[in-house]
Amino acid sequence: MRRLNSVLLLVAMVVAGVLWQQHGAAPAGAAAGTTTADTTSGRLAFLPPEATATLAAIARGGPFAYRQDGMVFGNYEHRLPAQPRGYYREYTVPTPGAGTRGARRIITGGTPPAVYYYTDDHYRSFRRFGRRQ
Amino acid sequence: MSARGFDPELTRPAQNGVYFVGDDDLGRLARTAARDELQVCRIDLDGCHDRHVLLQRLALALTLPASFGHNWDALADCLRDLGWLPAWGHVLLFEHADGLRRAAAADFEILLGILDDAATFAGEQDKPWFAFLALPDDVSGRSPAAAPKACDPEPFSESRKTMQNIEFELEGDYVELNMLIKLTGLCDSGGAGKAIVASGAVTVDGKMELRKTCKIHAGQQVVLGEVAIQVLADSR
Repeated sequence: MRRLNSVLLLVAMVVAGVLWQQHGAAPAGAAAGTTTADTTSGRLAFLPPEATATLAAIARGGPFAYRQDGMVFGNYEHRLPAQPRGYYREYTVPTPGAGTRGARRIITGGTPPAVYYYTDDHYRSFRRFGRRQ
Repeated sequence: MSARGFDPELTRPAQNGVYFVGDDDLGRLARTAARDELQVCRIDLDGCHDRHVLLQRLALALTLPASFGHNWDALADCLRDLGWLPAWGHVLLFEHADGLRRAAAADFEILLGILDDAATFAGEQDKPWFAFLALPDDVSGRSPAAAPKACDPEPFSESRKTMQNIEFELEGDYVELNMLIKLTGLCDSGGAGKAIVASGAVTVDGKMELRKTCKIHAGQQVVLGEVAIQVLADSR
């Protein structure tokens, strides 16, 4: 089920990318300005290249690069919609050259993931992507 | 050794957690931790009365990376990491924590929850992880159990003569022990439930259980003080 959802997500991203290329008009993003997609990989433009491997690992259910990956995201600041504890999980998106895990994370919501968020400023702001089931 | 209670064994991840102590206990704890080759971090909260100053103090004392986001989620993330302070275990000593507790009680409770999460996470990796917060004697007297205020053990005091029985019906296959304590109304939050479990006050089927998020299944009995919780299978 998890794998199927992930495949659907990937397909959705690729379709979004193709549509974007055909129409040449940017749809207004829900939470974040841009939903532009890289048509070669189906990767959303605001996601760095390193996010691809992280998303693939999430889709596989691991293994992950860091022991913190897959742990519960507390949402202590309530910057994401309120959900029971355990709904959100977080995964490191590596920052090349950083000596630490850096400031980039993907947060998933739901099991299997139904909603995805990306932060590149250490949980100050989030961009939502993916789609609801 | 403090007259107020016994120190946890800093080399035992099973005792990981958040503890209230007196100001004069910190020196002894620091020496013990250093002897055990644990990384000791002192955070002086003197004059710290809000979360912004708290996060700044923590960033300095723990040499948090430049990418630190200065928010609670960022703190929780960093405390689960501390990879830039490599050690087989960590001991955080908060001096003068009472000012923050009095001036910003809600922030203080969030801090306790985040510290407890980090202690639990390290325990799952079998790494010692302790936080000690120095409070005045009247507050820290309950040491070593760092039961947050919302979780005063009063309801379970010996004055209650008879055992109170609660039946708890599962939704799904199991419930985590700390959440069971919360869901049955014995404390206000899962974090507080963890502190209660860590204090050794909870038994499962007659045996003390220190694993805070231990999975409790149907048929098991959990006892806290004078309250017995019978866990029933999901009937749906």
